[in-house]
Amino acid sequence: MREKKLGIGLAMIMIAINILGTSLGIIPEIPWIKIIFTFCFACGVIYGLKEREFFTCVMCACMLAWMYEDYLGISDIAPFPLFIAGIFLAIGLNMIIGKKKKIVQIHYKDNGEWKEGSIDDVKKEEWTDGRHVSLENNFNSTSKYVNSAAFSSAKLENDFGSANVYFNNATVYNGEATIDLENNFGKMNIYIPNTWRASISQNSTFGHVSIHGEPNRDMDAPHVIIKAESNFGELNIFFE
Amino acid sequence: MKIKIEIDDGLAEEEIVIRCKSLNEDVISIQKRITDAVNSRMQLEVSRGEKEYYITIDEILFFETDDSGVVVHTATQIYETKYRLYELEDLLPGNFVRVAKSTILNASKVRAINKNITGASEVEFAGSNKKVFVSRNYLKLLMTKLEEKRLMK
Repeated sequence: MREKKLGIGLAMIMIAINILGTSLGIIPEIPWIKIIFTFCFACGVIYGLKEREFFTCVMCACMLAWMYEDYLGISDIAPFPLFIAGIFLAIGLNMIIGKKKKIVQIHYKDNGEWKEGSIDDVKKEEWTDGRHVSLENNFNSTSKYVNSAAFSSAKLENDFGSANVYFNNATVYNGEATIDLENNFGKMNIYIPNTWRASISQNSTFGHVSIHGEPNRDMDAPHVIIKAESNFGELNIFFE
Repeated sequence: MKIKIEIDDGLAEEEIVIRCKSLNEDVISIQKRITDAVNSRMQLEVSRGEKEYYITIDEILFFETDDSGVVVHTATQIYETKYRLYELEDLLPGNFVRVAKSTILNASKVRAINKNITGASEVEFAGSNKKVFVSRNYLKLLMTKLEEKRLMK
């Protein structure tokens, strides 16, 4: 959500600079398609720096440099020497600095209150007994079975892939659990027992979240809080 | 073609004999259909938690490997089996086909295939919301199997 706001904010700032700059004659008029690409590659550079994905960062920077080669006075070295140098630079940075260790954010209960934190915030035994479940699937097809006898939280993310996740054999710990779902450019099918009560919040950007079947309406039934987000993809939640 | 039933009290188990002039496609097709019909009544020992169940092969939609072993999906339930996928491949009748490194499905239960040129295609089953993904390498094999089944009908 923070990234989305940052992206939209950057786009707004770039539009403002372009309108003012071209009106005042400070910067030459730039076609809109070029502005859109500039925005995309600029996001790539920021994302690459933030996540220490040096290949993404350097390649996006090279694309920007190539697009503005005349302004930067690098027409002689663009595109091939520029990109070859970029590849070596990315490899070098990766070897020296390396990738950022990914921190999985999960929901856990502390003194009866739901909190969000990293794996380190949760006691080790809570991970080993399957109370917290996490899945990250990229460009792949996968199925995950949550068989925990004390299920408390799940954080599931699918990017450009396909994932089926079954909660059919799980038992909710202390009557309440959370499931965070994020699907980007892919397809995700989530199977939840219809004996569970559910509170669902959904958010989709050029994608959709579909709910099939009905959760339990009995207030005494195990309760699951589902946060579903689908961007450019299809997320199906089946109660069966 | 004559179809006869002979009753013999002395037989240890029932047997079906096809008597023919020569081995042609029709005879092979009949043999295959009988084999599938017999196997579909076969039962598989599965478990869920501490409980053991015996389900008929025909109820099964697909088998899939999980971290803990091989899971068995019927239209509404999920069980576990002690068999490995390669053992099941030998054990199961011809309508079961491998569609990914980790999946074997029952081709006679397939309702639809959502083909995906770039990634894995998705198979839907009759009478269930469950779906499985078919690897690109195995899609052709599945299509051939479905075509065979269509021709046999």
